[in-house]
Amino acid sequence: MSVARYVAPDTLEGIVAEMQEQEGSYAFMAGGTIVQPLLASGSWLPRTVIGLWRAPLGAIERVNGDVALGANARLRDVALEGLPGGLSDAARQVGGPAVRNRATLGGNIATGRGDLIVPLLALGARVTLASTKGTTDLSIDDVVDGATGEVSALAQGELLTRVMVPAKAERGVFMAVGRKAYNTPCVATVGVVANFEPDNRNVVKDVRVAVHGPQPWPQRAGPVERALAARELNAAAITDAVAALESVGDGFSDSVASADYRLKISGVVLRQALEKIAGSSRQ
Amino acid sequence: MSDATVRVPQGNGPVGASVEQADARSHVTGHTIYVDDVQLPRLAHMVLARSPFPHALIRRIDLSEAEKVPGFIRALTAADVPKNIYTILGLIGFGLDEERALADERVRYIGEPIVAVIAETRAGAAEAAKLVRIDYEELPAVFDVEEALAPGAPAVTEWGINAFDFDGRPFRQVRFGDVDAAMASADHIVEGRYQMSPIEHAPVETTGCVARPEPDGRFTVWTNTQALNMSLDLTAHILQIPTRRLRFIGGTVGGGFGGKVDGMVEPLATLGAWKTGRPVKYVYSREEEMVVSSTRNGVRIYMTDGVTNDGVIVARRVRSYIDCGAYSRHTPYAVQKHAANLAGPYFIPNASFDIYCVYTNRQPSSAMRGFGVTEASFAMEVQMDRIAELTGLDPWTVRFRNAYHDGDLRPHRKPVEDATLIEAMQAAARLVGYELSPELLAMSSKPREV
Amino acid sequence: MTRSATVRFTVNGEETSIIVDPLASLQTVLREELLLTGTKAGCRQGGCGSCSVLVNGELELSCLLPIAEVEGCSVETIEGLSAGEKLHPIQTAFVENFALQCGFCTPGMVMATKALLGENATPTKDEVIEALSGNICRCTGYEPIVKAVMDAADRLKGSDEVSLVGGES
Repeated sequence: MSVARYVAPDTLEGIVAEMQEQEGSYAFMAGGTIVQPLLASGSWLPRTVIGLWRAPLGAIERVNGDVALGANARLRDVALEGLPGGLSDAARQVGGPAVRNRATLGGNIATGRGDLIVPLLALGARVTLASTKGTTDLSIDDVVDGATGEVSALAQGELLTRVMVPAKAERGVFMAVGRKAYNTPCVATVGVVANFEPDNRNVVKDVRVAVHGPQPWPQRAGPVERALAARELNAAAITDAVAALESVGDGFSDSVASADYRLKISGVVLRQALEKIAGSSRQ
Repeated sequence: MSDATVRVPQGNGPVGASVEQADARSHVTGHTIYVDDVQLPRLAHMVLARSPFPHALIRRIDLSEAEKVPGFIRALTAADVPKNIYTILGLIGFGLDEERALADERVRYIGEPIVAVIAETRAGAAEAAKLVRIDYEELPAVFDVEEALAPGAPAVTEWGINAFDFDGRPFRQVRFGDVDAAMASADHIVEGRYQMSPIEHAPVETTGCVARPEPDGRFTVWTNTQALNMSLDLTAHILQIPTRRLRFIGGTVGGGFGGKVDGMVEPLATLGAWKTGRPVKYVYSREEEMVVSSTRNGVRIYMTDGVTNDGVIVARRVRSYIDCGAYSRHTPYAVQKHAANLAGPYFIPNASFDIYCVYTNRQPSSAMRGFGVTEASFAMEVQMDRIAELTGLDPWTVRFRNAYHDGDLRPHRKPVEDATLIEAMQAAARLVGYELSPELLAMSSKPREV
Repeated sequence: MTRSATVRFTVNGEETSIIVDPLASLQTVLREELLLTGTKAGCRQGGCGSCSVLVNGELELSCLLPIAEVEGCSVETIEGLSAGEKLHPIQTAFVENFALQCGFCTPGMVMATKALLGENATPTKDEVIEALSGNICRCTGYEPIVKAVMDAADRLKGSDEVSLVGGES
């Protein structure tokens, strides 16, 4: 058994036409960092593989105070853009340099577990999907189901084509535990983007907190956000926010870390992220 | 800054000189041929169907679906193996014929090899191996060394007891002096429980070989084994052919560290070449290297020392459980080394050691970088630091006062010769700029005055 | 079987055209079709870096690249660095700094070094560690490799060495 056909259209329209023709028995491959090993090992053998690499979906453009990132934008390029909310920081620590030369933003999101989802959640990114029925815009919140970790939006024949994030965030940070350059994998990640009251720069106006640690998938940490909203970001607020993490999940165990450790580390990283935000000036 | 110098003896050839590594140029230009680089005409590929269960009976093997895969050539089962035993230490009369080259009735660890599939391509062999249908009856499994020795534990071994027999005992025993009396006379008792998890060697090059049948009835085998002669002997033994029919080419190993001493792949690849008349390549995938290939033993050590107020150890009692996994392989040898090194470079006048080689349903362990000894060193060095904490002495003093001298008897009754721990520690202190007390500076490894 | 395609690309300056499964990895094509076995296969999943090559001057893991996406590209492998007996300065630096033992990770390390020095001729030690973070070595403990890369940077300072395929001194 093997893949019957490989096509790599030059345009988005070409890709959508293939999606139409193949009707569900296809898989997408952009940079190949995730799909190629699955194909090579025989773990996954769809009838057709639609290569996304040749379509012009990789541009990164500044548009009216926002940044529009094509789904094919390489993590290497995302890392160099100086994007807020730690999005560029997150891209910089995925894999190694060779992986970042190929791995794409779209692929990272499509796994439902990619490291970029946390900062995208914190930034409130918007995502454009293309399908045989046209295009849809939705919030990144709707791409990954926070309760189950399912990448529900992308499962049904839709292709992520573009991600929009604000060009600036008032105060934002992404933090990960894991020394990537020393080949130790990531234990937990936290992303926080906060806006403060114009009249009182210490009081949180609104905040988005995303974590990947309490559960095996990245998600918004609602209880943590509620613990911080409309409050002064002081030591007490930070302590309450970290305590609220336990309502988000119990941590999860894998070969890298136990559930207990992971949950504890998530709390430590959240604290560090919030303290950094409290102490930082406008981004 | 230290005034320690390295004395380079004159007239000792390359000693002290910088010599280019013999194969450096070949490695750095990509010209070195490793096993997976061997390309031959009509090369076929071998992939194993392996047990997904830690402990199970094999009820039925059905190859009909596997045989339909395009490029399928042949599948080997236990019945095809001329002498279906595999135990590396059996070659030197030390081990048991307890393991099979291909499992017949029972599997004892996840990944145990059952069917060797040979096909035209690696992908075809992998696909066919996945389609081998095996009916199992799962059995209870045990994964902890002490649980495995408790009454009622699932029996991993054929003979029912989950411990290797050492001269009629289920453990290797060392007895020296009178431990009970010495412990009673000690000022302090220091107890520790030390544990090391199994460690995977994870060489960047996975285990593998290529076997080619020659027109004269011999086989040429390229292999990355660290133990070329043992692999050759084992292959001859399992295939029941004289060793002169085997020509093994090796010595180029992409990382071994003890993980490539088991000779797991050559017998099956050579058998495959024999049965098909084709050259056969059998190289582990990265997953197999991690999950199936041997590890360093997991070990649990209970160490109790009787110590004087001066930090001198008067007695040591140790019970160690070395986890050999499903089959013993090199572990009995690890036990020997462990037992012989539990005093370390120290003089322990009263000692009692019980060292178990315990069977569990984990992947079999084998050699790795000083296996048996490393674990003992870890436990006893932490123990020495704890003795220092307890007695209020510094860690140097504790070690100097316990260091062995020439002529001291080790617990297994071997007299110490060429002891140099004291001098080495004195040199180390100089190098790091640590000032030793006059007592320690005056010490030497010369025999003790009686 | 996947419908074959013709793929044209250059390898170490030589034009090559093959008819092949478009989803075969560049690693498989190099090693099994072109018999350039200097590029290694340590994991086939992008984890070890031993398959590192340069494609259009950028560092890539050849096990992750379907050959179809190499169409029209310029590929550099370890074999292209030395010219007969003459080593590339990066290779000399590795030899003289004992930056290898079993040698299996070495081609990947050398290519990663070439990619780094092509973009950053004077890396700091941290930048070297970052640049090699996709290459695993189980033998050396990395220190001699980092030293070799810093040494290679010194040797190449002021020369156009790094951009030449099959470089000469």
